[in-house]
Amino acid sequence: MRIFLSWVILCVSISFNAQARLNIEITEGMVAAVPIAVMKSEEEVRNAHGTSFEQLAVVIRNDLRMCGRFEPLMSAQEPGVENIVLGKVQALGNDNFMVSFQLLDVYKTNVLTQQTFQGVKQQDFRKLAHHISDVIYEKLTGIRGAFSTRVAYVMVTSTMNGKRYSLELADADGFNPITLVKSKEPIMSPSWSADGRQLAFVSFEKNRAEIYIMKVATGQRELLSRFPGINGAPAWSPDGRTLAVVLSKNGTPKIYLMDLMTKTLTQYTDGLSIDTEPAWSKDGRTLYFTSNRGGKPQIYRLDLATKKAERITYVGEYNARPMLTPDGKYLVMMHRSERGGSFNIASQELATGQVSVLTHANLDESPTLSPNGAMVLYGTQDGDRQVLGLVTLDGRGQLRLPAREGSVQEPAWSPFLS
Amino acid sequence: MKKYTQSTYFIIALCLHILLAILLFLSLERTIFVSEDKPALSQKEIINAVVINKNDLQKEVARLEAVEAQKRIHEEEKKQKLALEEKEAKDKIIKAQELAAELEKKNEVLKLAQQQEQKKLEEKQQQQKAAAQAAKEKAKAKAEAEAKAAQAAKEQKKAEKEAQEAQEALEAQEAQRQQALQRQKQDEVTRHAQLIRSRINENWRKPLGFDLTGLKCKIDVKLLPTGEVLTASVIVSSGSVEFDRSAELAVRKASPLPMPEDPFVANAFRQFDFTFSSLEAA
Repeated sequence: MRIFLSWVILCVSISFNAQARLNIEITEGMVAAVPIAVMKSEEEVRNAHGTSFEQLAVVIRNDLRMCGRFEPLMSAQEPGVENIVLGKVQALGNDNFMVSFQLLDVYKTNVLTQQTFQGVKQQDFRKLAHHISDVIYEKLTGIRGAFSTRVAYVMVTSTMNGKRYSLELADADGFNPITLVKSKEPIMSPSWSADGRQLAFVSFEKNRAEIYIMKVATGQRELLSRFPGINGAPAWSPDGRTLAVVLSKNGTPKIYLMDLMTKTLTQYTDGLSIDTEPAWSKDGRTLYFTSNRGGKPQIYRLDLATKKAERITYVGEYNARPMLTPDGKYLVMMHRSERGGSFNIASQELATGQVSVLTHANLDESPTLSPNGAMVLYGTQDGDRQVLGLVTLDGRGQLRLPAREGSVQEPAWSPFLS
Repeated sequence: MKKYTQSTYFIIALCLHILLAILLFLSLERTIFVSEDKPALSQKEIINAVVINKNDLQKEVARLEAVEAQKRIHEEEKKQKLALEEKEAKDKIIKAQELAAELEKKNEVLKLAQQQEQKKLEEKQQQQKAAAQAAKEKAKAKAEAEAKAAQAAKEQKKAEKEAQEAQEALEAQEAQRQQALQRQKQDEVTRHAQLIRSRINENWRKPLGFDLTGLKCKIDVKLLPTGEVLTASVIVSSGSVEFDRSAELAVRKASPLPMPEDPFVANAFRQFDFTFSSLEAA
């Protein structure tokens, strides 16, 4: 049982009026994940290939656990179970399977949803499982699931001949990783295009910083920027036509926009400060970025129409690496409090300026949001290496994704891919 | 008229004087003798007598007679005048008397009128007095009647007030009793609501993964007499599917809810609302 022992004790009032209907106010409760049993249906007949819905159930349970909101269970007999997923795989022969599942509500004793998938191949079981996770998630939370998405990240491994860097791409749960780029020199700052078909990244393969864009499906890449000095922090605009980049060709690092059709550059910030890590607002009209123009790194908002920048963060002595939630309500960032100490992931509600620190390790960095805005994936230290961590936006659901090898850095969560 | 009469009198008087003068002239010789006794006159006469012839004497006599006549005329005139004056005075007196009489008469009339007036006035006064008296009596009677009525009203009011007070006291007692009952019932309802509340709190698994601040939803609940949840449905959504679901589930999980034994109290729990909110403590 993963129960977060955070009781919220608040006064409770019971109002009663002779005429009005009785109303009882409920304000106390225990914050906890939804206990949900995911299992094969009793109807499922064990078939010749040894396939079972359990193969999908493992993936689904892992997805649901990973997102922080659920407490997946293997049996419906466990106490407190609120929902049950019953699945069935029928082998129709020749790598052709029919997969069906039901989502039940224990207390309502009704079927919330049920689906059947025809013509499924065994190799697609994982993918289908992620899809079922999405369906369950959306049904129970009202939020679109993000289990069928991917994550790009940089993996660093140590070999006899020094470090090796690679740009990797994996399913959101970390499975099925593929290597896009391998290099002896650092690879940095992967960034997804809005349609999820391309990645921009920085490579030092030629011993200097260069910005590339790459088609994910084919691995075909294109060099965009190799100006003297820094070429970094690419960020794709929501309409996919523009890439925000950081260049130091005229002195200190400044933010430029590059038109991807014409390759023309326009400088958007100036001065002697370091301006970096641009992140787009959903409407594409503003950029949030990190600047030390106020002395220490803080986050500013740049109005692209006026080129005027306004400071956004005031809580903490250090705020960097901004990213906006899809609803535009929260800023997620790397944060260090006024007292100094550790670097953590924090969120700031833009309307109120309220800052919540979500993680509590020593060095948490490079936050990236799931496309539904429900989860933050970030890099964190685990001994002498770096791994990925997951946290819900309220900071209550925490999870570490164990790295199979080496260190994992700078994750970039893809947009919805279908 | 008067004037005319006076001039007529005057002419008559004049004729008489002339006649008298003729008569006197005729008897003058004897008179002269008689008048010889008068020394002054005789002395002078004497002187003149010598020179005066008969004619002159006659003339003189005539003159004297004329003077005398004149004198007499004067006197007569005087007399007449006096008489006239007297007459006038008399007339005046008469007139005055007449006037006086008239005045008297008038006065008497006036007096009579005054008397009548007085009488009338007195009568009027009498009447007024009588009226005033009557009014006074009437007012007095009225005042008395009013006082009596007021007294009666007062008494009635008092009686009514007492009755009302008694009624109110009764009602207050009844209300108190009702209130006590109501309070007792309400206490019982509150006690049971508390029981149910803690039961729901125990069963409320708040959703995890997002900020619950400000979220609030209302669940309409219908119970069976046994306390079993017949329906629990969201009537006011928080906007979060998870939050609404968690609230609905909390009610269903808590079924059956403890039911009060008193059917009167239990009635309040056949259908009611839960308001779920999570005002996160800072």
